Amino acid sequence: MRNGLFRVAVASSTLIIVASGLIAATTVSSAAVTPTYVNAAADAYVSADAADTNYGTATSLTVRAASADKPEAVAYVKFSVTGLSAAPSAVQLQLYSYAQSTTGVQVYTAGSDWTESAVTWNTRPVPGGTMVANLAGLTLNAYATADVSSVITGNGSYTFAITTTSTLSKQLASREVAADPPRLLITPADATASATPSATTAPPSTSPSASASPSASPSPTTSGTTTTYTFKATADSYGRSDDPSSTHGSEYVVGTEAGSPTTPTLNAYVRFNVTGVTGTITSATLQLYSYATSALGVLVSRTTPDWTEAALTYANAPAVGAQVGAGPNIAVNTWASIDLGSAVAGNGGYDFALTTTRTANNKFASRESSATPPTLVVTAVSGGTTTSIAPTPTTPTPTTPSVPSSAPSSAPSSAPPGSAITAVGGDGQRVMAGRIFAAPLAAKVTDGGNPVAGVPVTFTAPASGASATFPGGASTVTVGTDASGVATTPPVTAGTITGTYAVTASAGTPSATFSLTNSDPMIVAAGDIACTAGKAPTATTCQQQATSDLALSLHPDAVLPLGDDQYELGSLSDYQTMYDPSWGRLNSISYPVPGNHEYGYIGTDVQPTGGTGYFTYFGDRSHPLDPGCTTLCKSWYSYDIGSWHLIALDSQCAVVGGCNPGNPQYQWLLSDLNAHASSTCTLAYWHIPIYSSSQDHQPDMQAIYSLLYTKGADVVLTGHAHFYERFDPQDGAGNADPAKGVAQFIVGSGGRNFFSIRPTPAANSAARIANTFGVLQMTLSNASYGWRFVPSNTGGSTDSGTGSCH
Amino acid sequence: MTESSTPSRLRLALLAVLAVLALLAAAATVTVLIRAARGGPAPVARTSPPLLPAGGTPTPFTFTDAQGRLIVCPTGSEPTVMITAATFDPPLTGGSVMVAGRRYHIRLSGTVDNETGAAIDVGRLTASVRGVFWPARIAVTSKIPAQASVPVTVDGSYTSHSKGAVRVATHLDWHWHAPELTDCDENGLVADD
Repeated sequence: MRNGLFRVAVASSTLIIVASGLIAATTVSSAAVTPTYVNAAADAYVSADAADTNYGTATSLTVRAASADKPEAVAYVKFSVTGLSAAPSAVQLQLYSYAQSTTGVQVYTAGSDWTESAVTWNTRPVPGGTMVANLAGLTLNAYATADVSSVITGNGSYTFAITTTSTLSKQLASREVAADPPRLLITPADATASATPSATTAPPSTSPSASASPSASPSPTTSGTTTTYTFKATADSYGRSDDPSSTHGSEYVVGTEAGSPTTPTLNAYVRFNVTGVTGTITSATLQLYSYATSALGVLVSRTTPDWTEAALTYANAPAVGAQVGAGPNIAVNTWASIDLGSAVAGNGGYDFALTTTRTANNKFASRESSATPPTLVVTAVSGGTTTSIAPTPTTPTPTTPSVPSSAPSSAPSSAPPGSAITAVGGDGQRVMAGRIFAAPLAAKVTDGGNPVAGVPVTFTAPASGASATFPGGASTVTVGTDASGVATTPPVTAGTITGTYAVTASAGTPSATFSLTNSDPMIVAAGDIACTAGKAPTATTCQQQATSDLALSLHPDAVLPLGDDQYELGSLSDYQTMYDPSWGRLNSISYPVPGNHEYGYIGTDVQPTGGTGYFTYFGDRSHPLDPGCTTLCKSWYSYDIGSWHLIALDSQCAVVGGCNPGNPQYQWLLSDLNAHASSTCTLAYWHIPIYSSSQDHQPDMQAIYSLLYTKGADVVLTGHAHFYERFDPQDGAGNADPAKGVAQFIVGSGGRNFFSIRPTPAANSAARIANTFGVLQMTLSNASYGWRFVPSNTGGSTDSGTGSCH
Repeated sequence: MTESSTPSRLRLALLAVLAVLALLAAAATVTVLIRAARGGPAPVARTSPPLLPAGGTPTPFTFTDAQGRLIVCPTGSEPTVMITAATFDPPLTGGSVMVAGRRYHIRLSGTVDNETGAAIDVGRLTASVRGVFWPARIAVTSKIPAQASVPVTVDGSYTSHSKGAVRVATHLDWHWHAPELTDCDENGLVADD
């Protein structure tokens, strides 16, 4: 009988799965009209100043009106519409904008006798005379939508020419950006329509990345197929009570904070558009990338959709509704996963308010942080019968050895005889002493290769010496295995004593070992990094992705971008297109300084920018002394890492009011050094060196170098010259001083390209590495430091050593 | 009988091996998917990314001149102007925008850099604003030794006829000081952009 039922269940599931597959493949519906996305089949832009150049592989489409300074640029987008049997009832053209613009862009029809790989200014199709749509009011990093129903009336090839009356460039995502391509949203005519377009159909960027997979434990008991859907936030912002009319929708963080006599209230709002989910939703988890460590964490509540990202303020924010989830014990630079229970019941829009009871700022990455946006993970079961839904596990109480409630009531109290336990996550990590390890520890219990659920696993850290603790300062924690046999600890905090040690995981007789290391702070630095949007990497240029991969692999505690982070003019759109996917992945631990390119000083030319792109992209992180500023901001600041005092300075002296005694930056530095006179070790960094074995140095920072020398600073890091060079300790006049001098490094090897080094080195130059991309890795110990140039190129030279603080 | 049963056993054994392999593959897949479905931080990998190809060193450009001599051209970075400071009086709005109808006094200072292995002569140095020739006063020496920089200043007034951003550009016309290097042009030099 059981076999018979099983066969019926399998057969039913198979039929449903096959039927679902057919539905997905052809989108034939007799009951509902399903809009379908059709991605661009070709796109390119053309520019009048490069009349024979093709930009078909560019990752953005530039549109611009001609001016005295800049040539006209026009974009073309082609769609291939198939599968329609009747004129659709509605068609939208959707273009993803990298610009915030009141003027926006205008859409015209054009002939389709062009190809993506060949079209140039000289061969471009002429736009039609009648404007199809005027997309005014573009929003940064959002789709703009135009009704093109009058144009798309059936199957065929359609081309739209995109122009603008603005002389400032507008950039739109091209189809090379898989997440946000130009696309059509086609709504078929009626419910009896035959197959909707299928040939070029692709999901929108906000659509689920569905993959049939086992659900996260505990899973519902079901005979169906479980599918996990992931949705990025479509809008987010926050409001703050001490500035109730300000908007924050374009910031790279959303903040939450509880109001008190000394702190403002910050409430954040996040929106998701859940689409394409089939079956019964069994779980929903909100994932937020945290820039803070907080035991109180964040509360998630329902709210209403009457807000927009661009306009939300504290004063006009919707009311916070019923709480649907809580995320305590969040850790810096890690994901917080918050179970939302049954708050997500089906497809549709969902708006959540994020609040906290913590009277300090809990910051999370916003959707502008493209690598770590707020994300909603939805699990659904289809093709079977869900018989029960187990409760989602909560974070185990760390100080009291316990088995989470997720463990089945019939769970074994210890591992079965002969079972095995292995480390499956978190082994081999290093973190700066006192900080939280990036990943928790995870151990898996198996019996004969099969996972064993509900087994209590005790993780034990050394009682003395180099060690780690679990929340509450406990040296042990017991966690139950989940349905996949895995027990995962809460966040693990490194102790203050440095060294490598072992944490054991035991489930009775067998045990697994994790090797962890508490280390001195380790930083990574490089400058002169990312090429302009549209420039492809070559062996000797545009290797920002490779150098950022290298930096990520070193797991630094802080990253120092040394300026000229984004070429040519450090525009916000270039930052978002090129820097963000590469070095932007390290933004949460980055402490940048601007270079000459950020200000528009690009060698032979000057195109003053005020540093707007740089200051806007990095936000207050790049100018904490001038919060909210976006142009010509106070770009200098300081902070401590371990026992070191780090000082970020700006070497574009003509822009910042000079770098000599009496000038603002110099006077601030003097005060800062006096205030931190007790610091044993001091490191300062800026972009343009005062010494180099090439033309790429300037004396502008000489007075500041001398001040640092006088006050006992130890190290100066710079970029600008596109190679690596290290100088022995010198005074401000360039004289060697092994006892009290400041060691200057040049690390202009961040990826842009190579410069040449003179055959005769500059005085006191101790090491030079040309034609090699790479980063400088530094360990900042209590009274000393170590350095190592880590090359990105095969056979690249390195340079390493140690120094003592004054 | 024996002849016919042996292949059957072999076939069964082969099927069993294949089944085990399929199970192992499925188990590995499920493990990966479970980990992906959790959405938590991935275990920390200690592997380094693949290295780029070796950077290498540019080789000098050579040619044989009309007299049959082998000429080895200089290497290094292409001679260029490096503007390090620019002042606008009155200051630009927001640090970047000129106002329509306003007259600006513009002063640029920087260096002309010769990062090559041979001396160059500065033939002509001009400037433009918004792409249009700008009759500014330019001060720079006419000969620059190998691996040396000389100061340059560009000074003049400009009336903005429209509101907007401004681009002040310099244009350097140079040639090799040694006549035998004339035909080297820029071959073998690196553009320090």
